[in-house]
Amino acid sequence: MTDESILGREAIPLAQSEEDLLESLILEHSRVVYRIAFSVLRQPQEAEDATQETFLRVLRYRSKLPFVEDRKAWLAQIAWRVAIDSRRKTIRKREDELAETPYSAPVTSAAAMPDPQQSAMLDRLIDALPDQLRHPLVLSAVQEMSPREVASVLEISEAAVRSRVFRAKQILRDRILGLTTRGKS
Amino acid sequence: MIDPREQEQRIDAWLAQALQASGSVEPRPGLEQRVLATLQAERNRRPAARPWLWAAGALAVALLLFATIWQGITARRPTVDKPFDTTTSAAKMPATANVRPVVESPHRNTPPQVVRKKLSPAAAPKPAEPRLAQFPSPQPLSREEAGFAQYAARYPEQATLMAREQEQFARENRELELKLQSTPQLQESER
Repeated sequence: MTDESILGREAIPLAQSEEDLLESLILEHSRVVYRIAFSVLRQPQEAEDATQETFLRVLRYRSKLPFVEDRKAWLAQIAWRVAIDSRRKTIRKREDELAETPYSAPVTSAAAMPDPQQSAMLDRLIDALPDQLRHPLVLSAVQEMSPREVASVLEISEAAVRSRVFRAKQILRDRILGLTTRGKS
Repeated sequence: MIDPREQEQRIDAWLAQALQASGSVEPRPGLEQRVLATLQAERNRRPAARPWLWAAGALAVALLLFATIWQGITARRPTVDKPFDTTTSAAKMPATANVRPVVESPHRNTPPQVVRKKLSPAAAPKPAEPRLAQFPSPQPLSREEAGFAQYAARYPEQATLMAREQEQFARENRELELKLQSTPQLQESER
C-alpha cells in the first residue's frame, strides 16, 4: 500500500481546524505511535523521542491532514519510518557496542514480563530475525495494530503479513526449543 | 519426560504472552502533554524565524538586482573605438587613458569584458624607443677614442704599425701568463 491509498482523493469536510485536528490526533494516537516506535527501538527514551519527532513531522505536513482518510494508518506509517531512521542512526553511532549486545534489555517490557532474563533473551532472538520477518512480527505485536494496518505500514499484502508472522514465530519457537534442549543436556 | 508437542505448545503460549507484553508497553505518564508542549514550542519558534528569513531574502534579491543593473551600466560604457595600435608612440598616449584591448570572452553570449587599469602619472609608461637590429647598440665614441680616430685618419701607416705593435705586445703577454701558470705543474711532474 502506498500514501495514495491512505490519503483520500478528496478532502473530507471537517469543521475542526488543523490545529484541533492535530491535538485530537495526539490525544487519540500518541500511545500507538509510542508502541510502534518502541517495537523498533526497544528503549523507552528513544521511543518517546521518536514519538515527538513523528508529531513534529505531522505538524510540518498538517495541511495534508484534512485529506487523510485513515489517519491512524498514516500516523503509523510516519512513526514506523521515524523509528527505522532513528534505529539506523543509533546503530551507526554505537556499532561496536551493538556488535556484542544488539539491544539492551527493554525496561518496560521486561517489567511486564514475569522473567526479565527471558524477556532479554526473546529480544535477542527477535533481533536476530531477518528484517522481512522481524518487521511484521513486531508490528503485529503492537496492541492496536490490525493486520490491515501492518500491511499498509510495511506496504505489503495482508496475506504476506500473516505468513511472515507465522514463519517468524516458527523460527523463534525452534530456537527457544533448541536453547532449552541444550540447557537440559 | 515432557511430550514434545506439549513443550511446543508451552513455548507458543510463552511467546504469545511475551510478544503481547512487548506490544502493550506503556509510556511514561504525560506523554500527550509533552508532545503537545513540544509542538507548541515548535509553533512559537517558527514565526520568530520568519521575519529574519524574509529580511535575508529581501536583501539577497536587492543585491542581485543591484548587481544586474551595475553590470548593465558597465557593459554600456564606451570602450576605446580604435583598435590598439602598436606602432603608435606610447608617449602620445595619456597615462590615465591606458586602455587595454577588448578581451574576447570564451563564452559566445557573454559580452566582451574590458580590462581597465588606472595608472598614476608616475607610473605612466615611458616613451618606447624603436627596437634596434644590433646588440649592444652602438654608443658614441669617447674622448680618447675620438682622438685616436682623428690620429688614424691623419697618419694611417703609423697608426697601423702602432696597432700591430700593441697586438703583438698583448699576444706576448698572454703567452707569458700561460707559461707562468703551467710552470708549477711541470716542476711537480719532474719531482
